[in-house]
This record gives sequence, structure tokens and C-alpha cells, in this order.
Amino acid sequence: MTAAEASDPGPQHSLRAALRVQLRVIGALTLRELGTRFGRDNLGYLWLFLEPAMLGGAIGLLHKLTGHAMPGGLDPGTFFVIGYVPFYLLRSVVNRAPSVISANQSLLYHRHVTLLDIVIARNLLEGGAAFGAMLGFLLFFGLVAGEWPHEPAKIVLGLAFMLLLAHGLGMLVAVGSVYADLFDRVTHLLTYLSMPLTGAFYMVFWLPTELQRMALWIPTVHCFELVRDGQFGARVPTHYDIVYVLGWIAALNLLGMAGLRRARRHLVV
Amino acid sequence: MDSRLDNALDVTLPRGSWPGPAPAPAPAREGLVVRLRRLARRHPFKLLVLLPTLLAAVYFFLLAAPQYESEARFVVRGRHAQAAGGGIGEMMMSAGFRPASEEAMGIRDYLQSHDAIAALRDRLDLVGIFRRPEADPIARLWWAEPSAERLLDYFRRMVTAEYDSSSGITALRVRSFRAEDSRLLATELLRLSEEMVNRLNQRLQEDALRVAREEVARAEARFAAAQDAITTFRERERAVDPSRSAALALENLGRLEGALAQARAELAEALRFARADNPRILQLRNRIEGLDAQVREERQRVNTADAGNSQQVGEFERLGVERELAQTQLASATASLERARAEAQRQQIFLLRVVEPNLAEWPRYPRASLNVVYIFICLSVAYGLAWLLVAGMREHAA
Repeated sequence: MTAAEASDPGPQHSLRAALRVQLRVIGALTLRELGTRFGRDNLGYLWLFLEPAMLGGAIGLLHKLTGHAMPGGLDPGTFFVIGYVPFYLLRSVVNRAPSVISANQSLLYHRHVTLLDIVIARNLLEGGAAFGAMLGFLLFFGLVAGEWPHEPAKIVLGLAFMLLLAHGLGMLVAVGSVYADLFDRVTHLLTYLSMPLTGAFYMVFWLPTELQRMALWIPTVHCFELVRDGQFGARVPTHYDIVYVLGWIAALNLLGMAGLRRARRHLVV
Repeated sequence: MDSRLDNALDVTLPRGSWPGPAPAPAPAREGLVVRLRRLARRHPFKLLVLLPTLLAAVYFFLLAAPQYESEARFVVRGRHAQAAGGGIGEMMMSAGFRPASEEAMGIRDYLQSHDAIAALRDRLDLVGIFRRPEADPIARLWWAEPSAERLLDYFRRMVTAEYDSSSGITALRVRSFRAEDSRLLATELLRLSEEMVNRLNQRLQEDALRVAREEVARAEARFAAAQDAITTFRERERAVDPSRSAALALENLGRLEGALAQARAELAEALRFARADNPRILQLRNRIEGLDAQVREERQRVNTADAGNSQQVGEFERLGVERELAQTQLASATASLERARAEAQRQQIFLLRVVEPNLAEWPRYPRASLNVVYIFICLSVAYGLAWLLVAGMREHAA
């Protein structure tokens, strides 16, 4: 490997090799994260999917049992589960962000491990958990209630956008927590308070026009609407703008990654 | 890839070792590729961000043909009261309902549909308008014979209709390469919308009135049938009113019987005072005899006629009741038709022009500075992301 690199120092080749190393590092960090978080006892790694699944299932079941009618004749269980899983993704990524650097700071001792790798590894895990839980729920709804998703690709896209948004936001929070302890204290409160605003449990078309316009400023609303469009199709009107979400993702990730590079210099390993 | 190609060239054409005329093109191309790559490596920002921005600026400021916008605004007033305002209470109330007029949204959708395009193409040369000679080759419609879908995509770029549900106003904006074209298109589209509204109205009215009209027609037919039945009855039975003629016969009989009773009383009285051969008694006897015969005859006639006559009376009365019923039904059906007509009139939707299409004096599009700034920002952000990612990867090298 090193010999091949030495013999061919072309920029493309060295970059490809570096990417390979980075992917290996991220893979290793993901495995390490899995091990430290869930261990190998009882169900082990299965908890990764079970945690969001249990929470989402409880929320969905609760609303299903209270049996209140949804606008547009949607099944309340499906609606709340579909909204809860992406919200869980956002919340867990952002909530864990303040501790991500301090918990893994010692790993920076290794030359190949960067802050970005650590954050990516963690968030990949969260993304995998949400995707796994969502897949399980969709299969469950399809097999039990016969409600198969209308367009699965849109659900995947919505979740992926949510992951990228949360990733960007999480990086910013992580950077902030390097400079100020305040972030650690406030993040949980803010994610909790922002729950009704994110769009997890309401649809844009329920709102009057003025509120609709305001709701559509919030990027996460678009992700939820995209997921709902994928699940329910044309049964309910959905409003989202993919370009707008992509803009937010680009801006947040740019700031986040730049911030991480800056924070790295601030850290003492 | 390129480097491998270059290496291969180097191997097959080792400079200097091959005698004869130097292969000029290969080193030149190689030099160009190498130079380009060196340029890209030294000035990636200039090459990937500034150069495209510059190209875009050249296009937008120097090459792009001006586009004139014509705007029209109209209100579609429907039968639904407009839900206005916001607030949480309103939000709860309106859960599940869009606070918007379906008709206005229908018109908005129609304006951007292939239906509207087909109607426009019947009236004017839509493709020609989008392919004016002064249009620049990038912004104009690229195909001379566009398929319906391509034309629709292009049309939706150039013509927008926005519905503002708080004011209920639909704004129609048309862009094209000539101010007159824009106004013409906007005017035609407005006319199409008005026709659409009229068609909707007609459909609504027909639906609303059809039932009432059918009801009136049925009542009319019933009334006419009842009247006919009475007329034919009269002709057949040769009686204007059988119940009255029966009553007359009975009255006649009663009078005769009265006269008979009186004559008998007079006879009894006379017999007490006068002799039997008194001419007055004879006269009375004759009279009684005559009356008796007549009464018997009359009674027989009434009796024999009674069976038929009571049937006649029954039928006649049934016909009369039928006619009366038909009359009331007709009256109520006519009233409800009137009501339905008034209702339909009230429910009518109509298109109210708020702003007539204008003739642009100054080309508002393309928005050169704004577009260039957008392109610059987007490319910069993308470049920044790519740079950060690549830099992050580089940290793993070596």
C-alpha cells in the first residue's frame, strides 16, 4: 500500500488512497461507537434499531388508541410513527453533538483520526438506526395494515436530508461546545422546545396560509413533508422544496466542517 | 487517467531517442493538458468558481435577450365564503380544510396545463412567440416542433400563476421576448380563464336546475293528463257533471213525491166532505194516478241509473281530485324551479379582473446581477464543501 503510493504520487491516486483510509477510519470508529454504546450483552447491537422503534411505536400506539381522527383521513398510528422516526434522528444527533468531541478527544492522538471522522461515524450510526427503524415500521404497516408506502424513494430522500441537516447542525453544536460549556446545557432544552416547530407532528396543509408560509421557512418541515409524501402519496397535499433544504444542508455543513477544522486547532490532545 | 495516458505517451514516444522529425502535436497536446492541470491545481477557485461566474456574467449582461413581463391579477369569486385571518383558533377550525377557494385554484391549475396550451396554440402561434429571432439561443424555446411535454415545461417557466389565499387574488405573470407578446399572451390567458369560468358556471347551473326542471315537466305532464281524462270522461258519458245530474234526478223525484203526497192529502180531505162522484174528487184521483205513475217511472229510472251513476260519480270525483293534486304539484314544482334558479344565480362564480395585463416598457428579466450573485454564492458554497471534504481526506494521506 505505502509502496504503491510511493511509486505513484499522482494527486488523484493519493487522494483516492486517502479516501480509502478515511472510509476505513470511519468504519472502525462506527464499530467502536457501537461497542461502547451497546456492548455485547443481552440484545447487543439490536438496541440500535430497537430504541427508536420502541419510542416511535409507543407514540404511534398511543395516538392509535386514543383514536382521534386525522385531517385527510390518515391513520394516526402511521402518521405519528412516520413523523417520530425522523424527529428521533434529528434529536439524537443534535443531543449527542455536545459530547461527541469531549468523549472521543483521546482518539485524536492517532494521526489518521479527525474530528470530522468521529462526527460522521456517530451520525452514520444514528442514521442507520433511523433507517432501520423506519424500514421495520414500513414493513410492519405494509404487512399488517396493507398500507405500503406510496413512493419509498421519497421516504429515503426525506430521511437522508434530515440526517444531513442534523449532521450539519450537530457539527455546529459540537464546535460550539468546544468553545463554551453553555452548549452542553442548552442543547437538550432547545431540542425539546423545538419539537412542536420542527414539523414532526403537524402537516403544512392544516395551517392557514400565513402560518404555512412561516412553517415553510423551517427546513425540517420540508423533510417531514417529503417523508409523508412518500408514505401517503396524493392522499394528502404536501408542501416541500428540495432546493431550499439542499441550501440549508450546504450552508450548515459548510459552516460545520469549517468550524470543526478551526476547533481542532483549539483542542489540545 | 490522464497521467496514465501521458505516461504511455512518454513510453511510446521517448523524446530524443526517436530519430526523425519531432512529433509536434503530441508534446503540444501533452503540454496543454499538463498546463491545464497545473492551472487547475494552482487556481482551483478561479477555475471552478470565478470562471463559471464570469461566463454567466458574460451571458447575462451581454448575450441574454431581454424578457418583458406582463402581469395581470384577477379574483375568482366563488360561492364559498373566504376564510380570512390567522390565529390558532382559526388553525384548529380549519384543520382538514384548506382555507382557499377551489375555483380559484382550479383556474390557476388550468392556466398552467396542457389544456390551456392547446387552446392557446389554436388561437396564436405560441411556439413562434417563444422563438422570436431576437431571443437568445439559451433562453428561447429550443425546438421548432416541440413535443407537448417540452412545450409545457417551457411554458411553465415563462408563465406563472400564483394564488394568494389570504386575499383571494391570482397573479398571472407572463414573460416573453417582446412586450406586445407578453401582453397578448396574458390577455388570451385571461380570456381562456373567463371561458373556463363560464363553462364551470354552466355546468353548475345545469346541475342545479336539471332536477327542478325535470320535476316541473313531470308535474305538467300529470296535470295535462288529468285534464285530458276529465275531458274524455265528459265526452264519453255525455255529462258535464254526473254528480249534479244525479242530484237533479233525485230532486225531481222528491218534488214529484211531494206533489203526490199533497194530492193524496187533498183527496182524503175532499172525500170527507164531498160525494164520491164529485168532479173534484175525480180530478184528484186522476191527478194522483198520473203522479203515481210518474213517480214510479221516475224511481225506476233512478234505480236503474243508480248503479251506473254512482260509478260515474265516483270516477268523476277521482278525476277531479287527481286534477287538483296535479295542480298543487305543478305549483310547488314551479316554485322550487324558481328557487333553484335564484340559488344558481347566487352561487355563480365569476372572474373579476383586478389588474389588466400591462405592456412592459422595460425588460425586467433576466435578472442579471441577481442571477450572477446567486451563481457565485452557490458555486462558492459548493466549492467550500468540496474543499473541506478533500482537505479532510488529505489529512488521512501520508
